Amino acid sequence: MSSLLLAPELPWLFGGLAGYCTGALAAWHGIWRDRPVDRAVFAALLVAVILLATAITLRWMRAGYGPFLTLFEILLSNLFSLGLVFLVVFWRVPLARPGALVVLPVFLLLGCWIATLPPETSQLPATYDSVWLWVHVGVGKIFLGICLAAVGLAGTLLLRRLPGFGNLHRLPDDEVLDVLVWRFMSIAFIFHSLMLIAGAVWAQDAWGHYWTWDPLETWAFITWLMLGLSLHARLTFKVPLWGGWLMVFGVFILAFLTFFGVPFSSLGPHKGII
Amino acid sequence: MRESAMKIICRLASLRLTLPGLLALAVGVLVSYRDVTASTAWMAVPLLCLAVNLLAALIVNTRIRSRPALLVFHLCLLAVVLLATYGHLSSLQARVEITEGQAFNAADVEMVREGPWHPRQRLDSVVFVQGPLRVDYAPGLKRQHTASQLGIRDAVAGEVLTTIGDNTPHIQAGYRFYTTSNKGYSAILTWLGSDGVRQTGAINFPSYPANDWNQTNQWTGPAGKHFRLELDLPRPQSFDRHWAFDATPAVAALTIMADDQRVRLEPGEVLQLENGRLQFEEVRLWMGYRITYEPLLPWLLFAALVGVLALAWHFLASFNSLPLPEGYGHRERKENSDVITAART
Repeated sequence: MSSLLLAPELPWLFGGLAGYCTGALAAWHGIWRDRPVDRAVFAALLVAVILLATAITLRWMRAGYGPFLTLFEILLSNLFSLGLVFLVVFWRVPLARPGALVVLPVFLLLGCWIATLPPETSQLPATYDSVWLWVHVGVGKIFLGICLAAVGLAGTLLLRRLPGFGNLHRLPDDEVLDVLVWRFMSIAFIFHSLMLIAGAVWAQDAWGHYWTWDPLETWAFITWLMLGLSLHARLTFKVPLWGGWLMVFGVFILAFLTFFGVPFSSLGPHKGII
Repeated sequence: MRESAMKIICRLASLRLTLPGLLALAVGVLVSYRDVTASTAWMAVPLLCLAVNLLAALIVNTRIRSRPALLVFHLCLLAVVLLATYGHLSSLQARVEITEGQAFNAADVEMVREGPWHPRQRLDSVVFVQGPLRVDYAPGLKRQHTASQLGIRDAVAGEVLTTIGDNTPHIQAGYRFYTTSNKGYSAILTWLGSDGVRQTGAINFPSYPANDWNQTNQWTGPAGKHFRLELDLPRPQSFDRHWAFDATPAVAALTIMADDQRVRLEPGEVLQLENGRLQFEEVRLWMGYRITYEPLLPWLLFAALVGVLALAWHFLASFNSLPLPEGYGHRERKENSDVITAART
């Protein structure tokens, strides 16, 4: 009870997670029972995103700074931003909707993780008082969201190769959905590049050099290289469709570790210890 | 001859070489991440191979040359590599400590890394004077905003004060001066030699408040005698509340130790020595600056941005030329509103 009073964002956070849970159940129910569930999934996503936006706002008012520092804040803001990006994708690209089968369970995993973290606040370092932080974080979140949409679709396509997913065979052909997967990856590459550029501009004035090979920069660059390599590999070699989808998973795992692992396992300046 | 040269260029331009090049670069990045001293070769070799591969592709790959946006992207990629390499060779990373009232002196600069093409004499053209400074701390000794005033000579307005700090550097002659967390107190000493020589200088004590427990330093006097100096500051205040590092303490004394002697001086007091007198004038603040010189930084940013925009243009054109199958685009979403089940399409 006392933690709820101290952290008024928690009920809204758990409400948002309940929304994602509802959406995930609806998506999987639609596949198992062969029922039309797009509207239900969309509504659940929309409600979850609104609740999470409220949670972020309340926390912002309490802490006096945006969700940029602690792992709790970063998971909270990503639960919101990834949900928002997927909501837009779900709305504007119907062909990508089956990806909800994979994307929404990923949200739930993030939700389980955030539930184990203390909602403590911190102090925003002076170097974070920069418009470039917003640009860097903003395009980074779009990158991860679009990459997750590609992973969702690739995961669904891999799922339908497994026994027991007969209803998925009524989706469009592998080749059609594969084109969409790689379109998402291409767009993700653009936003990842913009994230690196904005981060370099921010770093130049925040820490005196645009690139210092700190752990976060190093792993972000390796993710960018692997993303570029996967786009090149698909063009150059006859990579089987499933091989390409596994590459998509590989890039996402690298990006995921860069976003949620590296900043909290190293003493880099991005962690805020300055 | 020309044919064999083209054959070689065609082989060098192969996309099949790009992939091992990218993998080698990733390995090079990982190696230099683990061992900074090994970074140059591990990064330079794959980058050189990739640059040659890209240059060859730009000459012979019709797929790239026939698509202007893709061509611009790859040209920009090459430009970024070249600009970053030139920047690395001509760059400077250095640091300097300047006391309030003191003018910047290139001779005081401590080099961290200097590229072989860096025009060192250029640093002599930098002129500014350190003014007052202030660093705010939140409770728990968490550093907040830094404001450092510099007096800069302006051709029109004379000497003007400018404030830098945090994300705002002072830029002069292409050098960027950044405030750092390194700052502290200086003891201003005047040497009055028996030969009539008078010299005033500053002794900087270790960074404060990080080293508030150890405000000592060594100094060799004009007569060659070694002294150990200790700045006696009031007991550190509680750092559990807001605090600012912005003024010298009202009560500060300097203890000078040499041989078996130990003399405590208040500001204005004089110590009589063999060849002259040493006067402790006052305590001031000093600020540590990080200096960087990257002459082509704006061009690097420009090339990177143009490259990304060109690639976005290329992708957009590709998507438009290869539309998704009819019945699945967003315009048809009403007819295909349930794609998760997808049975009705």
